[in-house]
Amino acid sequence: MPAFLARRILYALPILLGVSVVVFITIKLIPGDPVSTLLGPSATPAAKADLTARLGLNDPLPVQYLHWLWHALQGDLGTSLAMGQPALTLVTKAFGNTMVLLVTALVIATIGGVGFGLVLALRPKSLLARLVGGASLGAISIPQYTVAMLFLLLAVESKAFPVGGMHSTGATGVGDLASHLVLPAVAAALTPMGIVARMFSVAVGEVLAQDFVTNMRARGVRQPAIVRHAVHNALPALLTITGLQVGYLLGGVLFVETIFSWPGIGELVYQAISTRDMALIQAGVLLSAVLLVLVNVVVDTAHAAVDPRVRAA
Amino acid sequence: MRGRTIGNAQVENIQLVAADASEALEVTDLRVEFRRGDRMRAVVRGVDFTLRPGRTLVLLGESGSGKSVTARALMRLDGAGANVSGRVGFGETDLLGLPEPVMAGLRGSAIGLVPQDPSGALDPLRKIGKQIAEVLIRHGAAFSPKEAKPQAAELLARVGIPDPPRVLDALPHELSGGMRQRVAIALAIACRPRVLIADEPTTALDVTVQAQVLELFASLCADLKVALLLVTHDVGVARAIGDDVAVMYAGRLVEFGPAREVLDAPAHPYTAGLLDAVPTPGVARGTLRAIPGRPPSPDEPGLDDRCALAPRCRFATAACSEHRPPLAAVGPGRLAACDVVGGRVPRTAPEPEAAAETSTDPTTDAPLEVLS
Ligand SMILES: Nc1ncnc2c1ncn2[C@@H]1O[C@H](COP(=O)(O)OP(=O)(O)O)[C@@H](O)[C@H]1O
Ligand code: SF4
Ligand SMILES: [Mg+2]
Repeated sequence: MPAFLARRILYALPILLGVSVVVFITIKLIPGDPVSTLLGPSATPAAKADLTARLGLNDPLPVQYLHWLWHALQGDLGTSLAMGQPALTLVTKAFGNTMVLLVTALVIATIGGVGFGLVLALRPKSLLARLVGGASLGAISIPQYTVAMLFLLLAVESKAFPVGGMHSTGATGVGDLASHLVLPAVAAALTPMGIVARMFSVAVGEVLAQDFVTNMRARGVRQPAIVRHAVHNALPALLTITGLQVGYLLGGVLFVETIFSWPGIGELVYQAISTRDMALIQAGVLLSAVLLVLVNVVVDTAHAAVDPRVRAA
Repeated sequence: MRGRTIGNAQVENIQLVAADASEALEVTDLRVEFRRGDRMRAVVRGVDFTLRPGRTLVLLGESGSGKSVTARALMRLDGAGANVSGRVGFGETDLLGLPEPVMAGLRGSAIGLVPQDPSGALDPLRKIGKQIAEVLIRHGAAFSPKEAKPQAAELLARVGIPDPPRVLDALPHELSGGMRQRVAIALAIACRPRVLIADEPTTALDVTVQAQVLELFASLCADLKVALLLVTHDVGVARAIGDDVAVMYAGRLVEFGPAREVLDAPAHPYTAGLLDAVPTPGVARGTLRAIPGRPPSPDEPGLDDRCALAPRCRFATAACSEHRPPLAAVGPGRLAACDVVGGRVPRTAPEPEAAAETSTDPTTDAPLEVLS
């Protein structure tokens, strides 16, 4: 297992390097001149030239990149020019909040997806399965953004849940956090839940069609035990399925944050873009990308832990 | 919990009744049809045989003749699309009439199944020991995994597996095909079944391993007094292990009798054809009298009204296509369904014109297909 993990991390390194290049270049491609944004329309050309030089913006791109990477590796992602704080500090704090939302949504999507997937696989003709099938199709075809908007409207109308933020003013309790979490988490989880349900039901169905299931029946093994075997055998597939959803979920969460004013990375980058806060955008996007790569490492490792045949491969 | 109580109570009753009977399983007029669109296709068309404790009945026939469907029907494993009728008598009980939970209680305890492909016998992600314990606990032979462990080790030793503790801890993919088949056999006999059904249990194995596994079956049959139904397309296997042989063609038995007698002096042209399809040492290939053509599909019309072999049979007369000869006594303990050859297929060289015909017409020159 440790060897597998080490190998997997080694493979991830070049990907991370590539990600850093892409992030750096993308930021360079964003139209608009950070210097003008910073100094405002009334700045003198001399002041602009001075700041451009101080920010190292006259150097060739590769030099700028290496410079940026060198600092990034040491945890220095620059200073948010708009907020006057290190970008890393701001991003890390927002990241914690995003993770709370992401993990909650992932748990909802996985548990719901597994439950509904089992209904689809085991009782395909039942009324419940037909309802679940229709609903999951609906969930898959509606983007998270739209769901979030809908939820927001409902929340405003019904007043059942708080409509934005992470805590009510002054409150810090878990209950308060949970009530703020429900709408954005469910909004972000719905689509992935539908996808997990459909893909998991297919995976379970494939296991149930295998010879060993027939042969277990021939030994008198009862249905509940057979379902346990089937779920166990479908776990590697479930990990891959949910692993794929994490990327999708992360994207959805970032959007949902802006709608529910959740103080996470999406909201932060959204603010940073509107103020052309380059250091903050870079830090936010870079950490999102790193997170995605790490998630893949974790998913693969978990995969190997569940299925010994993967470890050997 | 309720299902188990019902199941076990029923099992004990059945075993009490069957314990002193000379039949372990008595199959009468077994028929299996599968729904296909809005028509039914009859795959097994009325089969009778009896399995006796300590004896091996070999069900022999070409691929597609309905052997596996028959074997599965005895345990009611043919699936929801199958329509099974007739009687499978287990003591006083007709297995076909039992409620499903009771039948499930008999599977693996009163009747064991050894599958053809040992790689499909086991959950690939569970250790062998756990899978054996699961069956022991399911049928009340052990109450905890801890209690099941020594029993499981004993079972593995019984089927000739060296170093049982290591194998108990192994995953299926860590074992060779032969070892896996031994584990599958251990699982099938774990709860001391009265009947063991093995569907082509050696077909997926290397030739050297095949002989060992057959030997194991023979010793289990003798020691445990289990009634064994062994399904095969391989005449060599039938000769090696069979006490009796039932030859199956197009969903029916065409010949039945003591293995030695049937295989040495077949009473049905189809049995003779099967024997001739086996290359015998010293006999050149060109002189084999393999039956030309292929077995009929279950969808072919008229299979109930004529001898199903007629289009392929070199003894066929006009009458063979007009009525179906019943399985009738042709000697002590011997049955055959052919009223032309009179209980003994002449085993001479092929008649000149038949030989000429088969060698000049490429469409009928196909040797008898015996691969499963
Ligand atoms: N589940 C099923 N549904 C429909 N037809 C089936 C099914 N299983 C087997 N058959 C048909 O029954 C016939 C006999 O099959 P089988 O018993 O597997 O033959 P054997 O074991 O003698 O080779 C074949 O023609 C096969 O296509
Ligand atoms: S009844 Fe006729 S066709 Fe059938 S096996 Fe006998 S001779 Fe051949
Ligand atoms: Mg078969």
